[in-house]
Amino acid sequence: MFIRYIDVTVMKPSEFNHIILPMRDELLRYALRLTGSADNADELVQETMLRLWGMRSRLNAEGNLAALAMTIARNCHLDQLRHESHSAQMTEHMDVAIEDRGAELRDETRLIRSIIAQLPPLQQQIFRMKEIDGYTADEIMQITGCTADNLRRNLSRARMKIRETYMQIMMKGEKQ
Amino acid sequence: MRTISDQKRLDIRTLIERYMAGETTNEEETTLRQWFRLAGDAVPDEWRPLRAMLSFVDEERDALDKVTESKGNDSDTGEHYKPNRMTLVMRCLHRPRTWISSAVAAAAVGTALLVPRFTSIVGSEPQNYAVIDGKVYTNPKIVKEEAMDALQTVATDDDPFSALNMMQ
Repeated sequence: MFIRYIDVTVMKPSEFNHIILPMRDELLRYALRLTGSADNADELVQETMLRLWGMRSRLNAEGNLAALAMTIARNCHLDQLRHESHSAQMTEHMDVAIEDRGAELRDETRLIRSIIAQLPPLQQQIFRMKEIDGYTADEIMQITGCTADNLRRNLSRARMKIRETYMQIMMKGEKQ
Repeated sequence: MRTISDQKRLDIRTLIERYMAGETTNEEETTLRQWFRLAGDAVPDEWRPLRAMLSFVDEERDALDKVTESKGNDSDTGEHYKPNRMTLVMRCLHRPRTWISSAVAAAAVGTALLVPRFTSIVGSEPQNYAVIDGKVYTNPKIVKEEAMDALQTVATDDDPFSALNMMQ
């Protein structure tokens, strides 16, 4: 006998928000202990919520979601630490890569993709959800639990960083 | 080559500033993308980074649209862009089968227990189902009975590893 469980649930941001909202404060305290900074803790919680959203079709509201969220938060924090050490050398690495592949200087979208891949994980995810997946600001706020101001700031940072890095790389390419 | 009138340039500049500040709505961003698409090369140099960014977004949205269309649109909910990211659970399923044999019995019990729980999260409509020997069942009671039967089959066997043979 072979039994296969299939979940076809399509959870809406408001439903997700209803499930995860009660544990947000506890998660925020945990994130604060991990990061030692209120701003970083808030971003860590947002990223955790986005990862939970990514696996929403498999979430069980009666399971230990808080424990799952904390595990994800810890892993996100470790990812962030790795990302920070990696992105310190970001411009140099990217310039080398572009120099090695001169033809790609003209391939704008590939260049943009490379730049986005170097953004902090939270900014990458928010940029993707807003620009490509077509979520509204309200939906993203419901999913992450962040404020409108916080969302605006992260979106702005992502877009500014993409623009600045693109200009730096193109200017360097033109000089050669 | 088309030229951009001063008024149009002012409108677009204002929109760009709001976009870069993260203040634009989805509709305004669509307008901006359409404008850059139509403008082509007739954009000032200072806007070229933005044109590249929005061109990337256009490409990604087109690619996502194709994936969505091939899988069937979710027109009932009106949500056009549902990400097709591989979830953590799906990643686990792509790992080597080392865990499969030991999870057979647990999965059967989990199936029976999860069906009513998920329905309680998303509402009263029966949206979840189980496939047993190729047939679809939505009745949690039947699923539970079948799962218990499967467990019974495993439990009565003297050889604790014989469940592995059933999978071959």
